[in-house]
Amino acid sequence: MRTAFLIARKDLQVELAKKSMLTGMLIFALLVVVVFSVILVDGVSYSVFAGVLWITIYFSGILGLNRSFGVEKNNDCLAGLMLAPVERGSIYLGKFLANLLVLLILEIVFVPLLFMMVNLQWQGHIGHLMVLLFLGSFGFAAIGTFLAYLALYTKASDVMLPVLLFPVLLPLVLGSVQATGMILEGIDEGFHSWVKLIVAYDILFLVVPYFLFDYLVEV
Amino acid sequence: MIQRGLGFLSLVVVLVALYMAFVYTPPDSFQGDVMRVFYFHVAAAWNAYLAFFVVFLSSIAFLVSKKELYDQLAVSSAEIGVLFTSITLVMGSTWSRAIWGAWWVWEPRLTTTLILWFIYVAYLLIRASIETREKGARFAAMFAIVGFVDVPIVHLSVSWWRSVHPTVINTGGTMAMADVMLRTMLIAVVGFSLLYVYLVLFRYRTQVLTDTLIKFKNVMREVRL
Repeated sequence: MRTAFLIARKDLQVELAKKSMLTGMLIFALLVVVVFSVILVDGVSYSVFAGVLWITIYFSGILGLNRSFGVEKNNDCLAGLMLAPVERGSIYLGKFLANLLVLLILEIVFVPLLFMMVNLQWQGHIGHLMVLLFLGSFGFAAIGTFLAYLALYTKASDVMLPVLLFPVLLPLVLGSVQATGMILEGIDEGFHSWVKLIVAYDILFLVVPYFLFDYLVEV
Repeated sequence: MIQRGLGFLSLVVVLVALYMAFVYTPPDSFQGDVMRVFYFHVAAAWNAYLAFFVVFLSSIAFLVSKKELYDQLAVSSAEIGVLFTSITLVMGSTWSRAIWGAWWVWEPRLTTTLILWFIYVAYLLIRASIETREKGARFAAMFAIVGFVDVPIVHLSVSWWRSVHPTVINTGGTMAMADVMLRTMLIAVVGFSLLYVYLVLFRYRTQVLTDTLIKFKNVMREVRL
């Protein structure tokens, strides 16, 4: 567990020192919103707003995931990391934590800006929305970190990651968008079952990759 | 020999199923002749799911035992599975156009099958785009496990989302179908299952031959050096 924190801290320190990736992700996220706003001139419904919110977060998240292991390939840092006498699973956990935190930092800046840009009147509780943002990002970072490592060794890894990720991510996309739409609209019915689904997804796709990671980096 | 026998047997059973589907069974009282696509649609869908279950099991076996044959089995089954999934989707789509009036409807079982198709196409893409054969096999096996674990959740999530697919087997386990139709469907399922086994064996053999050839090539290269 300590190793995981150390790796996460290292990644965050590097990122916060350079800020190149975070800035890039944020600008990209805002651009996506501008593009959506231009297309949806007639105003947005709650479900469309929830969709735009999550699609933007996931698209910018992909940019971060691609870099997460990609940076380690320079100077053979990845080989060094894998040779370190630590449990492989904790390398995965460390990378996962770093990716999750980067995503959360992005959301802290991006989500308020999105609400300001779109100017949506909404009911519901802001606390619920924050919990949901956390849960949705958690699952995305968990499965995304794992698949980013898989994609790293393919010929066109930047292209491969979304192709691998989005089919597997579908339940989470559906769950977060539906649940967010319900919060915005102020509907309670059925909300909890979606949250349960997201939590189950989060746990499952943190645990399965954690155990698979040992097999992943053999040889 | 066994393989050839299987191929012949599946040909015979599929022909019998075709006869039953088009001649033996009467047209459906509501849907008319369009309903006949159903027999092979179910058979293909069943085999698609079977194929991916085989991929899942052999991927686990490969990761645990590291024996090449499990990987060769997994890739063979995945390719045939994608084929059967495509057949299922195309057949379902033509039926949907006639009965529902649209080529595609966002309905749980359709969506799940489509996502399944995407997952296993991605599986084949991983294998194809990793240069080292051994690494490609291992990474693909992991993806197969993650992908298979995902399928029930995909199905659950899209079911909550919407549902209009006709249910043939009721919750009580009884069939909402005439005996003639049930018999035809079962023969079609058996025929396609035999075809599946035949195709997988065939594909498996070509995979083994390919791998052996590559090994020879590498040995020859070393000898020349």
